[in-house]
Parts: sequence; C-alpha cells; structure tokens
Amino acid sequence: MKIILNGKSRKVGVKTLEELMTQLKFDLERTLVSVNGNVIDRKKFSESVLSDGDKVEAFSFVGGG
Amino acid sequence: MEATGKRYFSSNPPGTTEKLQTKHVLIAGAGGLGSNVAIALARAGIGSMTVVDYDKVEPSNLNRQQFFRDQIGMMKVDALRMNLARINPDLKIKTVCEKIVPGNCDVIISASAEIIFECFDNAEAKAMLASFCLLKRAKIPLVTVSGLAGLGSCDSIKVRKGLRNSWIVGDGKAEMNPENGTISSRVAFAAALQAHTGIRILLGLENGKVK
Repeated sequence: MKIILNGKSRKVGVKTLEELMTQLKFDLERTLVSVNGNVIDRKKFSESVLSDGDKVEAFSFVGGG
Repeated sequence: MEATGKRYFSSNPPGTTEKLQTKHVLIAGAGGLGSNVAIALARAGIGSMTVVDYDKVEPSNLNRQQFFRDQIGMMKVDALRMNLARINPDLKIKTVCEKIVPGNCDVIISASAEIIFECFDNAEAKAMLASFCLLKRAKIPLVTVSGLAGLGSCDSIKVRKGLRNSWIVGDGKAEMNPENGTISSRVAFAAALQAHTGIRILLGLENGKVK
C-alpha cells in the first residue's frame, strides 16, 4: 500500500504504525507521530493499523536543553 | 500588580504588559532552556508561572543556565525562584520539584496553564510531554525545542509550526552529546526564541488556536 509520510508518498509493506516506524528506523521513544492529523499515543503504535493513503507525520526530537 | 510596578515595564511594546500580567504559563524543566525562558518571561511582565524541575544546580550547568556559583547544590526550582524574585518581585511563582513522567503528567501539567513550554534536555522526555500535551491538553499552546547543541549558526535555529496547537524551535539536528557540547549563546538564543514565540502566542500574534 501507499502512505504519505511527511508529505512524500511511499510504498510500504507494513500493517501497523509500529512496523512502519521500526522499518524506517525512527527511534520510537523520541518520535511524535500523527496519522491523518490524529496524534497517536506511543503505547498505541503497535495497535494502530495503517490503511492505503494514510497521511503519517513523524517528528523525532533530539536531546538538549 | 500594584500601580508602582508598572514603571518597570514602561519600555514594553504598548498594550503588551496589561495582557501578559493576566497570563499563567507552565515551564517544564529549569535547565538551559527553562531558566532562560523563565527570566525572559519575568522581565516581560508575565503574571504567574509554574516551574517544574527535579534537579539540583551543578557546576557544569553554569556555562548556560541562569544560576550562580553560590547556588550550586540547591534545587533548581528554588534557585530560580530566588533569581526571578529579584527580577520581578510581583511575579507569582509556583514551583514543583518533581520529575515529570507519564504517570504524573495529568496532575502536574495543569489544565489551567495558558501556554506550556517544553524545556527538557532528554529527547524521550520531550516526545513524551509533547504527546501528552497534544492528546490531553490539546487546547493549550505548546512550544517545544529540538536542536540547540554545538556551535552551528544561530541562523539555523528556526521556529516552525508543529502538529496541531504546537510550535517547534531549533535546528532539528544538533543533539546534546559530548562531541557537540552546549554553549551559552546558542542555548540562550533558542530559549529567547522559545519565550518570544510564547509571548507572541499569548498576545494572539501567532497563527493557531489560543485558549
């Protein structure tokens, strides 16, 4: 299926948000994710099932402050 | 605030002080970002703030954090309260000496705050707080920071709109680690941009929902 990640369309072979984030090597604990505009709780990444055309926004924080 | 206090803010842009004096802000973390943000807001005449931090002032903090050598060993929230009181004795300060974790966010991150400043140093804590605020405090504007370490140009530190009612300050890349280090000027720049973005949000000058 195709999803739109941070504005760019890409083909992916995953079912859940957690699989997507892991496959794309995002650090799950540092990343804020929304699917179709809805922020997804970190605990729900594994049960968040993606559908064709979903718009995923992922933003990873870096440390320092 | 008593009428005599007004002269301290007479150089603020017209119409600013009256609005800021009614505002309550929450600052999560009192390190390089939080201590600088708190001082900027105190000088601008913000009415009240809650500062949350669980750490003590250490010698290695003093290259960029707004504490003094004679405050080493004090809880940061206590030291910051002293310093803020010298700048603006009329500022109402509530301090919370606790580590913010998923289990206590709901209690510590008050729903009555009018803006939340994410001033943590740890990336996981930043993501955790941002997630909590966007999910459970969706109406309260959130200003986060990501990327302020090292010696990169201050020009690379930007403010951009994040998800929903949030803003992100930083270069997005320069992580705090032993190779990068952190220097006063760049940390203060990021903190000033964070505080200024917050002031603009409180005054209704930034796009996005304001509570």
